[in-house]
Amino acid sequence: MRSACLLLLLGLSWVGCGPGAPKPTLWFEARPVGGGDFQNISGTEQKDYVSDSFGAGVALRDFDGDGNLDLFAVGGGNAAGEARADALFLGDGRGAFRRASADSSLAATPGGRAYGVNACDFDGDGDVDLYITRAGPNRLLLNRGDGTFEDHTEASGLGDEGWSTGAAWLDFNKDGILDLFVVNHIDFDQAAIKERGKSLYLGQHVYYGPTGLPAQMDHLYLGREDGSFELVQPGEELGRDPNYGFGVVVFDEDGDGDLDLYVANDTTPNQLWRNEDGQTLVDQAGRLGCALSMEGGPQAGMGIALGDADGDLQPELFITNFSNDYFTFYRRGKDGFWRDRTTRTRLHAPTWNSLGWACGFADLDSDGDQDLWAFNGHVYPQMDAVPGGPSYAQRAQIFENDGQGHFSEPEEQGGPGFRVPRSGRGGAVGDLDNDGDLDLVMGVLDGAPVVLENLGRGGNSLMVELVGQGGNREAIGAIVEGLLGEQIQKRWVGSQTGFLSSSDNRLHFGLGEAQQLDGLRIVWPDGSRMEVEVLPAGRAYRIDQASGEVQSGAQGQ
Amino acid sequence: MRLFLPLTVSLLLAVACNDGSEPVQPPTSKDRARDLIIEAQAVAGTGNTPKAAELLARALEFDPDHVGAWHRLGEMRLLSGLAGVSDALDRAEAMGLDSARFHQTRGEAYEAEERDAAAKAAFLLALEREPLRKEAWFRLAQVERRLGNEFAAEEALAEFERVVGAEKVLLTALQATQAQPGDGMLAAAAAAAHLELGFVEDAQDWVDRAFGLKHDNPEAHMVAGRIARLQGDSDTAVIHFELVTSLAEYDPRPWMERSEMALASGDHNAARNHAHRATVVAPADPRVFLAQARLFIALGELDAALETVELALLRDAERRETVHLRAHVRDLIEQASQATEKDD
Repeated sequence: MRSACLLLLLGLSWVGCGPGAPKPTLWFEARPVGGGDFQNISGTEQKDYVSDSFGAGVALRDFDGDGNLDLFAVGGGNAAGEARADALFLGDGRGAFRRASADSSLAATPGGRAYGVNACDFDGDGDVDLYITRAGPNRLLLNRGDGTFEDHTEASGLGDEGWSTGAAWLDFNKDGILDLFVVNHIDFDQAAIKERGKSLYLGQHVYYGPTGLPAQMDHLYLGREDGSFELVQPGEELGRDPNYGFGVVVFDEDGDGDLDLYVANDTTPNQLWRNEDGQTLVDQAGRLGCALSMEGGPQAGMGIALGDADGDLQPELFITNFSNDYFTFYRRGKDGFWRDRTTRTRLHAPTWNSLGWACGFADLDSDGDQDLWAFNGHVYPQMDAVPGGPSYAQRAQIFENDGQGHFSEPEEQGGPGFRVPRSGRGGAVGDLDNDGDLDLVMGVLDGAPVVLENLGRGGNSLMVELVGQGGNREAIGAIVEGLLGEQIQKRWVGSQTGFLSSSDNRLHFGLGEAQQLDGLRIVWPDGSRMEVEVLPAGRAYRIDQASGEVQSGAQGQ
Repeated sequence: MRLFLPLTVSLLLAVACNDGSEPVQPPTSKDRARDLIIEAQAVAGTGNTPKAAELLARALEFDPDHVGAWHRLGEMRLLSGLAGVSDALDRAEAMGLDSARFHQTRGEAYEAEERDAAAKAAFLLALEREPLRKEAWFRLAQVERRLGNEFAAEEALAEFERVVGAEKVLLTALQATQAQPGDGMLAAAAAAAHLELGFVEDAQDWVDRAFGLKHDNPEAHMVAGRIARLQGDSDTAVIHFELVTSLAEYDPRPWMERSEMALASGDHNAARNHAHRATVVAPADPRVFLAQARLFIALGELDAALETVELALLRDAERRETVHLRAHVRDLIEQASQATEKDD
């Protein structure tokens, strides 16, 4: 009898997931990009050094201006620290990519391996440029307008010599020219680390660090009118007590009209850098309650996501951390203090065993609320030898929002794309196939990037692209509220997402069954306001700050 | 169901092996509850707190008087974001649970409900029962800040950092004594580290060991004096502090200790004199001025306190504790001035 029941259950399960059957709302299928001719490589397979354990940043933007999302992936480097070539894959708008023809600016560049990328039209000329963070001088690549690039590092002064990880563009001093905040990690000296030997973790000999190694200070570069940048010291606090920095997001945290920064730091307290009148940065994370775990300890901050999951218009931060710890969910209260809401949002248990990197808020099922995603993978390959221990490759995770700001993993875990364990690191989100839902791209350590195509039964949606004025053409720092009946969906426009990566800068609004967004309220980076009336679903909109014009086209145009 | 299968199998095996001399007892409700609680503990260790909560709820069906399980159920529900936290904690409290950990959980539950005043009261209860509970100091600091009590928040945070720092010092000291067991100064450092964390008996053992290795050991006398002071033996304390001074004349700590002792005994002149001696022997040390400022506050001499805090700041302008003490003294002066105006 029991066998019969089991067969029946299996049968039902087959019927439920078989070809042609309606998919669950959150269902992703995976395929690698590059046809085997590109892989990110990060040092040795056994990860001898801390420098081998992460990287694989990716960027999803339309680099060649054909209206379709393209994919840039950093190549990393070998065990000797020699760089590998980065790669650009051009999208066809249906979810497929082909590698762009050889571009010398993307070839292996001596001086250090690449870890992350920030894709942004930093000079406001209408095409998307690249800032590549490396262990060694970073690189600024200017887009010629057709998806080929020229190296502008030397002229710009942005060749930060540190071991850089995250980077974020922002108009720090509100002069209409974008500035750059560069997050740095460890003052890495391979010879000195060799002398330290190995660390012991769960009985395994693993690489040494970052604890015990000197950290590097983060840097702020102010943009000048001539296209060059100046390294500045915004007050006394930045760099006084350097941390092992990773992810960074920019937003107007205190509502005073200028952009602040939140930086996730590995094994050291996270920082909330408040911008004081465009001149000084003051870290308020400790005072306001978003520096440490709920027990008061520093966590291994990796990636950061910024969003509003419960629809109360207050910002929330989601930060990925080490395994045997939780990914932290902070919510800003109306009193200005941040509270650790991980348990209330039900994210403590499902994140406890994961070691997370890229992450993001995104309405993956287009039902009108922000879900969360995270890409995972342990830093130590040696973990596979620990009985009952965490695995080196780990499955990615979706946390579905119930509409009230509580999260749970979907029953099918997001489909086969999310069930395969990988060494996920970088990650970006965007509508690759122009079907109105959000797809994901995972930057895989020691592997090819993987597309996670969204095949779920999602709701209606629309996309909004903001075109800002002057140098800040991407309207970084703008705040957008989408009105849907009683509900308001809030979005913050930034330039880097998750972990060392950049996503499509168009804003996605899930509408569920609704056929239209009832309106949009925009606060542009200069504080000016604009309201847009009804926007029908299934379309992509481009809203221009200067002209006030709202253009619309089919999604993907 | 999965849990009861092994129980049933065990029972059958026990029956099969029984030679008839000892009648087999079927598992009691308490046995079943115990097994479920043990399983819940293991599951919680893997991070699956919702499952642990489920197991504990089942355990409590078998043994509804298990006070620890009610508390643990509250904890697991809290970590999982589940309803029924207060119900579980109320049950535990009704059964008389009054531990530091219980009040910590209660405080965290109140915090989750954004009831900061109630959370503060709970954390204070936790700290009454366990003064070195660093998690309680950390959460108390956060709550105090949200309540607008900046100075209290800083005091709580300083205490949290002191405990965290002391734990690190203790670990380092123990590692050092393991590497060099014959070093009397290291043994004294281990004694000091134990005392800092409130392990008085261990501290005394390490002091004895330190004296055994090196008799004229100022650090060991310092710890011995503090232990004697804690035990109310002022005479012995003073003897040890005087010995510290004779062995290390530029160490201000014995003078600071003696100042506090004199204040506590009501001898204000002696308190002032000892505090002053501390500033004389270590004029570059901001801690001595901070201690002197606290003495002046206790004596109600607020202007002198403010001047002394400024002297501490001259020596270390970044020291957070001093910056906040200055703000506190200024508040006290302001309050005193307003009170005088009212009286007039």
